[in-house]
Amino acid sequence: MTAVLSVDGLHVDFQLPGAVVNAVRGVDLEVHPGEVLALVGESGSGKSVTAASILGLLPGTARVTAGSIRFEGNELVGLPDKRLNVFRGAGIGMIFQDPVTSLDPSFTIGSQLGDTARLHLKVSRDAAREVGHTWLDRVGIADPERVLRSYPHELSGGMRQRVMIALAGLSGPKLLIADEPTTALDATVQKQILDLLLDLTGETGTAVLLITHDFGVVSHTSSRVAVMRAGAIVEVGETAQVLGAPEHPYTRILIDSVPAIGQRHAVAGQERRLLSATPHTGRVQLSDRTAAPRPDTGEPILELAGVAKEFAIGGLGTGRHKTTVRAVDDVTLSVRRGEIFGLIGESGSGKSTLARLAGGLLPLTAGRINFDGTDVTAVDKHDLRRRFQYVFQDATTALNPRIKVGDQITRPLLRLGKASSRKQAAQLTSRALDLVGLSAGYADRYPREFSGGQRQRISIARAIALEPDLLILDEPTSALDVSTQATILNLLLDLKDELDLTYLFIGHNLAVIEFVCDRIGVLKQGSLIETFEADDLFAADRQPATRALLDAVLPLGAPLTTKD
Amino acid sequence: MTVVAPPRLRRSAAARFVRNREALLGLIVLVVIVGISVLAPWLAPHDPNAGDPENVLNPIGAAGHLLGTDDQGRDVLSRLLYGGRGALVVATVAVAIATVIGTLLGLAGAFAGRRTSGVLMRVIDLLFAFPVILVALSLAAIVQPGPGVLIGTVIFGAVPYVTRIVFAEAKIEREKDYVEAARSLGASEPAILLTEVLPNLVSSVVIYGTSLVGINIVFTASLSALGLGIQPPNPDWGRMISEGAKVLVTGSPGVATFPAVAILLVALAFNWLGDGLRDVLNP
Amino acid sequence: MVRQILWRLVNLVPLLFVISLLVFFISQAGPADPIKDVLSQKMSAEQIEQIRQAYGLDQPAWSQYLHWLRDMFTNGGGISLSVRSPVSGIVYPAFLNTLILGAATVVVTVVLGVLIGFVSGIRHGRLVDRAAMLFVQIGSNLPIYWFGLIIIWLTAVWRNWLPAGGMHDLRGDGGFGDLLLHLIAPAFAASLVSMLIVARFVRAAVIESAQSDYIRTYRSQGFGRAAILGKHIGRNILPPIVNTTGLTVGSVITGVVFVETIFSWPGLGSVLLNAIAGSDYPVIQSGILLVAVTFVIVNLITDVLLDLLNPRLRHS
Repeated sequence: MTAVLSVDGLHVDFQLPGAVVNAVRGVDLEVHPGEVLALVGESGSGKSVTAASILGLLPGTARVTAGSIRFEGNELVGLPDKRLNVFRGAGIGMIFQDPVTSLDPSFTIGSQLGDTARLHLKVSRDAAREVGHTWLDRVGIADPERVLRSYPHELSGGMRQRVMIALAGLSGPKLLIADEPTTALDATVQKQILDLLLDLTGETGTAVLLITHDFGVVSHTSSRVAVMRAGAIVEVGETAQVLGAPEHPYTRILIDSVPAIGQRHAVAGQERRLLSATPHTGRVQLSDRTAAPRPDTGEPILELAGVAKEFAIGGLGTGRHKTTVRAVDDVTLSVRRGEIFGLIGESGSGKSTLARLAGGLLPLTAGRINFDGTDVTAVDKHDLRRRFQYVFQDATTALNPRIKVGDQITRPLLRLGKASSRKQAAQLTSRALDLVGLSAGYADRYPREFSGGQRQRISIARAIALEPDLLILDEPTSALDVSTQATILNLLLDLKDELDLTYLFIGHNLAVIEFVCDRIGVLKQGSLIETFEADDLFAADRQPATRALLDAVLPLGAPLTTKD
Repeated sequence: MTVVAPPRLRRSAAARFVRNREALLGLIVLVVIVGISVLAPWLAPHDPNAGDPENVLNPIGAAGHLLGTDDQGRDVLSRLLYGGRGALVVATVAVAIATVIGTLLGLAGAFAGRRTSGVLMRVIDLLFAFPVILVALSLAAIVQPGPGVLIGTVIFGAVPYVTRIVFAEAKIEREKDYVEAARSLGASEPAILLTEVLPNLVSSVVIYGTSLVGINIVFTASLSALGLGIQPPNPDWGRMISEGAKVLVTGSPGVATFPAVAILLVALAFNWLGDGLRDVLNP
Repeated sequence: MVRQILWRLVNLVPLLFVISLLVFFISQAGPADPIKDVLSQKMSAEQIEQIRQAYGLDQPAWSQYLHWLRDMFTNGGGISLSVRSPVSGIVYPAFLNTLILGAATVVVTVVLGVLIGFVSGIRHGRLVDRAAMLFVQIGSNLPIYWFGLIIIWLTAVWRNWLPAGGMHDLRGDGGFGDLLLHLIAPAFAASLVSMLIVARFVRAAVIESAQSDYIRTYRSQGFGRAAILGKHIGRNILPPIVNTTGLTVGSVITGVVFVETIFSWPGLGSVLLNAIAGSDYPVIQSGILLVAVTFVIVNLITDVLLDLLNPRLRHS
């Protein structure tokens, strides 16, 4: 069987000011008719660059320096745009990661589908509209007529990605390249989109090259997988084979980095850590003053009663009617001292708003919040801030880019009276940096000199230097690659024991939440649906919203879905 | 598990500045021109205002008058050396004032409540497009034409510009998590504005402020040429252009062209410096 | 949509009120008593006092303001102090001439600005782009007065292509063609600053749009370069073009005033400069108010155009 697409020794360089970056160095790849090949790798591995170079869609600074890309025997490398256009769309279709920006904001869906239909199917304007209608039907859109008249901004992310699939599919390509097609979408939508993609390509026998960073997606969709690292492919093979018995150590790390659902039970009696790391649980003291015995656990440390928050949007001068949106609606929950309470919800469920409300960073619309028995609105703010800390999702923005890392840790120590002198603050800072696995010598550097994982460690050090009682972790690993995520999760689990911390862990990835947390609360559209012990996740009386999240998890080890 | 910090790879800002040819060129040109303006009394071969009816409209290279004389017989070179003083001071002072006001307004706009911010920015948007010449004419009608009119006009023109830039950037900064983080670490709102957000805006303000000085040297020259700015007999580049206008087409193009080239060079130098600073300060 | 436009109209009322107050303030804050300044040499104190009463200058400020406002509506702002004839007769014809030059300047600004910006945007980083950017950099730092002189020298003295100045041929009515011929050079000179601002913005918008994800989508579907450039980039840079053109109206007006004296254009700029030299406040105020109101109206038109171009608003 000849390959639909074969890539040989592909090299791509980026010409940046003062430097040349070899993004892709010698990639060999074959996609066979009708198969789904997953190209998996972490950010910066060159997988998206490889995909973009196939259709000649590289940005202006990048160039293919060597190698060949053949589609059905035709060499694509070096072809001018005009000749590539013969293959674009008609031969090879492409779906991109971000459906929000990938559709033209100034034209209706009907116009964009119609243009593509007229270009490839050479049909009249009316017939093109019919084609658009049929395809919206095929991608599972319930009211095609309304969507045809809509502008992209009027549709949800999932709907837009369906439209993207229709756009790529209607010209009947032999090969579909899907570049992280579900990364920007919620978990429950992800599975629908992937299944739609598989169904449509299965019907027409279209081969798929699926770019992803998620082994769950690999396992769910692909028959073969290629693992990419630093611009080269380290391992290729049957998906079941590679996932079950990876040959390359890097593949092994990637697979082991992802907590599988139910993994907390896997090694009974042992502290849970990823990548078989050694747990550190011995009590550590940062400052000399806290030599107190371990506090009692089980008492509620944070209590929310009937908490609600409304935001106003629109109004005078914006051209829209003024409306209020209820981001958080009547949430009551309590976090016990010494536990890790997980809060899970999809985007827009109000979980980040709730996190900010809990620490008094946003004013409440209704309800009451108690921290260690006192109302947060009444309590001494200095004391509250010292004992109640945050770690935010993206350390790139959570650290001030213009202030040295050391200063960002010492300033609050002095401000909140944790340290009485600069010298003492500096000592605490270096101990905190040490505890998160960084050298104290890093203190006089700026955030941009660190990697994403290191930055998140600094964020954590800044919070724990105050020796707080409660840490709110707002999606602390969502912006990180899986292997970095694993080490940060291990670090957080270590620190919890070493410093007697209580965590409120907010996330959208059920497998991570289930692995890390003791109890779990499910948020949906601002309401807390239910809370339960993490061990009871699979219990029969779970709410439908929780079930939906559970069903959306794409397990790693599960046997291939018998689709075709 | 402690890691020893590896050596740093970054070059200092000063080193990057020197490597940036554009910025360095701009700086050198400016230093030279400011130097000349300061030292004009010692450098100028003649009194810039002393007319000589015997030597009217001398050509370039005439004896004793390297760049010739104007229609009153005044030495063009001497007037050129003196002519930048007023413009440089006026533009720099006015832009500095406008930068401070604009930064404060922009920060206020970004961090004030929705309504205040909306009204403020609506007004600023309107002023941004407002014909500044009307301000110059009004000021000239209220106070007499002179440097005051120039300073007032430049401030009026530059404040909305700086405000919009600071507002746009401060709004982006405001949404970043480090502001929230600072709040959660006990910083007060004024402290967040001044010690967390402001350091992230300073480089932009400096960059745009530098370019603004250049733009406004050109602009004030035109106002002076119209007679709204620096008054005769003081030598001024802009004024020299309009005085030389009469003789430009009659065979003495130098009288108006030398000051025009001087203005162009200063303005370009400020531009180069601004662009260069952008690369240096925002790596 | 309609609501939005009505809201913009309502917004105009306080704005026009503030502008009229500020313009009224010019004579109040003037360096000296306007009447005394102009007339004192020739008249006795009683006579001056009589004139003050006739002009209502002895009344409280708010009453003077209402008087002044009524004058603006009835005869364009009272009687000129220096020429002793109604202001409307001096200001209105000059304003019309300025409007003609201003409109021509806007046309040049948009046509040349968009052309330069679009071409250099799609040839981003190439030779054409670099040449255009050099032109933009030098052009925006040129003293406009000297630039105007050079244009006259080039087009009227060195080569006898265009008239050196004025609005019409001195030998008699040359008609519309003659007017156009006289417009070319001053409109080009006056548009220098605004044209380059538009060019810069259009270039940036083209580059941004060309690198956008949705253009990548079109490219991935095999659309030709012409279709992408003409239809999709063209449509998406339309709002920024309208927006920047609106923002440059101020620069256009400023440019027009600058070049009027150079090209001996019988416009409001020259009238205002003369009035300032003679402290002729009625003329100054009337002229400034006219231009300010014109600016506000143009601004409103741009805002409404932008609303119409925004799909997010068009359907709400």
